[in-house]
Amino acid sequence: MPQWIQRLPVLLGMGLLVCPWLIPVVNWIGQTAGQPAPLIQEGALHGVENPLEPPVYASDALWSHQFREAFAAEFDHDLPMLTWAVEFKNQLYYWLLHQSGIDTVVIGKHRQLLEPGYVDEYCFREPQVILRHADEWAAQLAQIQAWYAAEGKVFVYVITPSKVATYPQYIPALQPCPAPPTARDALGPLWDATLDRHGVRYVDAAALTRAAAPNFPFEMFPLGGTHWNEVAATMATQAVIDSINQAPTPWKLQPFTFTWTMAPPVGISRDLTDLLNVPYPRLDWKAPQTQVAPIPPAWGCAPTDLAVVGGSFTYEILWTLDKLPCPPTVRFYSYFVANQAIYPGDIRGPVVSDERDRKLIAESKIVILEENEVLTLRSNHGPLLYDLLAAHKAMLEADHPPKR
Amino acid sequence: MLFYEPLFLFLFLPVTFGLCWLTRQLAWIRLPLLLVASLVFYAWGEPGFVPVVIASALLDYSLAKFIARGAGWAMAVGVVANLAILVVYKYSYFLVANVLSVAAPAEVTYVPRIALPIGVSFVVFEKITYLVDVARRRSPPASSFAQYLTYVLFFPKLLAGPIIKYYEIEAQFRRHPAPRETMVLDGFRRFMLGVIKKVMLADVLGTAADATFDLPPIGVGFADAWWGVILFTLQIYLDFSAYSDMAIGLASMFGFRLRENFDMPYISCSITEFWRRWHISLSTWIRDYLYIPLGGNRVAPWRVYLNLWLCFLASGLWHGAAWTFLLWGAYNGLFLMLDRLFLLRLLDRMPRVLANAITLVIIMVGWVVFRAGSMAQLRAFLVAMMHPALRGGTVGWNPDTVVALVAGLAIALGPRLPKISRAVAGSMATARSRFAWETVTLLLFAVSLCKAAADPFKPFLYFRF
Repeated sequence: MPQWIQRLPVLLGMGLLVCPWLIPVVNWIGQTAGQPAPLIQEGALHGVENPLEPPVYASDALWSHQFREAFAAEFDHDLPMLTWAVEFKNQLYYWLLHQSGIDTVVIGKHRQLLEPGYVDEYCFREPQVILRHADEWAAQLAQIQAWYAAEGKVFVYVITPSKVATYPQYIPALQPCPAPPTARDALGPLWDATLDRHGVRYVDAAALTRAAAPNFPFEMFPLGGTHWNEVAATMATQAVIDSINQAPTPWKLQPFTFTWTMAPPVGISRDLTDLLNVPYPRLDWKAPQTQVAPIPPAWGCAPTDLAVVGGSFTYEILWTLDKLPCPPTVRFYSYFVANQAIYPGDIRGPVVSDERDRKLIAESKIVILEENEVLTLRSNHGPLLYDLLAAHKAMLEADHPPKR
Repeated sequence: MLFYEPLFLFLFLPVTFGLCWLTRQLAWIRLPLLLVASLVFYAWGEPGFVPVVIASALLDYSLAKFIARGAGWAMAVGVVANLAILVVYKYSYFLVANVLSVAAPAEVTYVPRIALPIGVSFVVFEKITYLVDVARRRSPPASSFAQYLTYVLFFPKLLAGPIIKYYEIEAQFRRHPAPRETMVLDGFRRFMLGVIKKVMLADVLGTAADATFDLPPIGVGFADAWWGVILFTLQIYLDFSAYSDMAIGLASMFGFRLRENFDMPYISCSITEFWRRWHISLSTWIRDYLYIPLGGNRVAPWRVYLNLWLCFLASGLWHGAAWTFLLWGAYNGLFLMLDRLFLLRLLDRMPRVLANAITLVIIMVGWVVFRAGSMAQLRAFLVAMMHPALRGGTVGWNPDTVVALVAGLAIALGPRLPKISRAVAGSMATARSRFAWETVTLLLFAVSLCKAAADPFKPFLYFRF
């Protein structure tokens, strides 16, 4: 064997270290030769990272740890072959090990994609620990409801389901799951009973989804996604509307029926698939898409003001409401502080706290608080809503003390 | 800057090596180039410590001229000054916090901590070898300050050794011949193996081991404890030996030969043998620069035992400023004493596999002491390891952990099986089979590079929301 061939693997290994720099060079040569598009193109990665702090190129900043960390992070992020590296690594993990290459997705049984946070929550769920302060939080929810009712408004508390709790059979085989199944599944009924005891108006969409699941020829969560499908979200929306309309206030929403058709998954139905950043996921499934029709008689269109505080599952409820012929005007405050969305139109932006407080305290006629079951009694956004209203009430009482 | 980070792999190494290779025929520029690269490398990690190292090296360099003439005071000043660096940067917090907690426990609320400079323990030990080697006339004083500073800051061994004794490398720094093609290729081959070991095995095992050692003490079960210990036992070996592979490989690419630092330590049949095979550069440093000056084997038996124990106590403290490290040193010192008293003879009479297994268990228990974050965690792990009925089972497995575990066990314990060792050696006998092995190495290196580049990318789902 000639010596140069014997040396080839090592020389190619050395070449790999300069490979990333060949990509911009080749593209530059192409551009100078009049090629409008880059000769070597990379795809885009899905998912976002926490925003990078750009390095500050100033003489006093150069010596700081922050500069070096920012420079290294920017260097890693701007590597010309980052997309290929991520996709190659993740594909290899996926094919050879049946494992996700990123730690925000796990591959469950039957190739179901799951979020590790949901798996851990379910597997280590201890209702007796979680429900220690159940009465306290239920009483606060009842208080929120009473405060809104005193002003002629409606408050509804919505519990949304977790994929893992709905389909525990997909938990990965190597995942430890010390909590006994009966204890895990007791959380929902026990929490519902506490809410009933305190007279809270609520929709347990988790229980609703699980009860409805056998009636459909597909599962209530997509194979490659973490959020419920459109059918589950639409049924929950129906239940929320029923709950609002049963309240003794003039604020009502148009009830509706729905039909569904199956279509290739897009958007939220394949969120975890996209996040895997695997070019060939070999996940073949279809997701239901719903079409809604108002239940006659159709109402005159007078859009109602709705303010919603909740997590990511809420979006699908709001998208369903947005499909109505006369959709309500909605302000959604994701996790209270994260960002806001305005409907109709799904216009996203940062939360303006003054405006949010005004909407939640004074302007909205219907207020919805959504908590996913993985956050039952552990969410931050629920208590933040309570704190806002409690502070407002305390201020009012200080200005106008109740007469004895 | 770590050797497997994209910044090092794709920028620092190609640029530094490229410049050195292009100027290899210019003898006058080789050492300054290496010095500048080493300064940049160290300044990137620890700019504040660079002036301290330079000033301290300048002191060593000045004192060495007096030491060479037999001035004992210069030797004492040099060693104390170097140890002072270690005490200030590494042990001051530990010392102050412990003294204060004993003297006035109620009043201690906060003790300021000095940032630990990267590789300070390695730098200081190497600087001491220079002074001692000059005093023992094993090496002449460095011919120039630049030469000495390049020895101190030589970037391949700066982060995690091996600890280079001055006398071992002085001639290479003095002559510094141009790197030859074979050295470069051999060096890069070794570097590739180091990167593969670190990125694909040690880091994977480390993540799983960390998950176990992050358990609250009350949640550690029998299986958790043993799982964590096995993972950590492999992780520390693969991680540390990978660094040594990378360091030895890089040094070779730049024309320097460094001594081996590991020699299949987990097939040892006694703790004495283990310390001949594990972190060889530290063991030999302790032997040459501490144990022998304390009297070595030439003193009364009780002094030999005491010296051994003291040396390993110092070794424990060298690894870190914490009671667990001190305890780990004492634990190893104790078994070395027991080896001399009776254990070695007992193990020698046993079948090799059994002696190996017993030694491995002793080593693993030692690693629990080493890895434990606190005395409470140490106690919890040791209790859990001895109580099979203690239920835990809260740590998950990933397929990559299992693959890394199997590969790690094969690397660590495979050499115990002579047939396998012979088969591996035989498979490298022909040019064709070597080519096949190197092609596999290349593929694994490519995967490791992708993993190293991809791992910092941590996307999360809620970009849609």
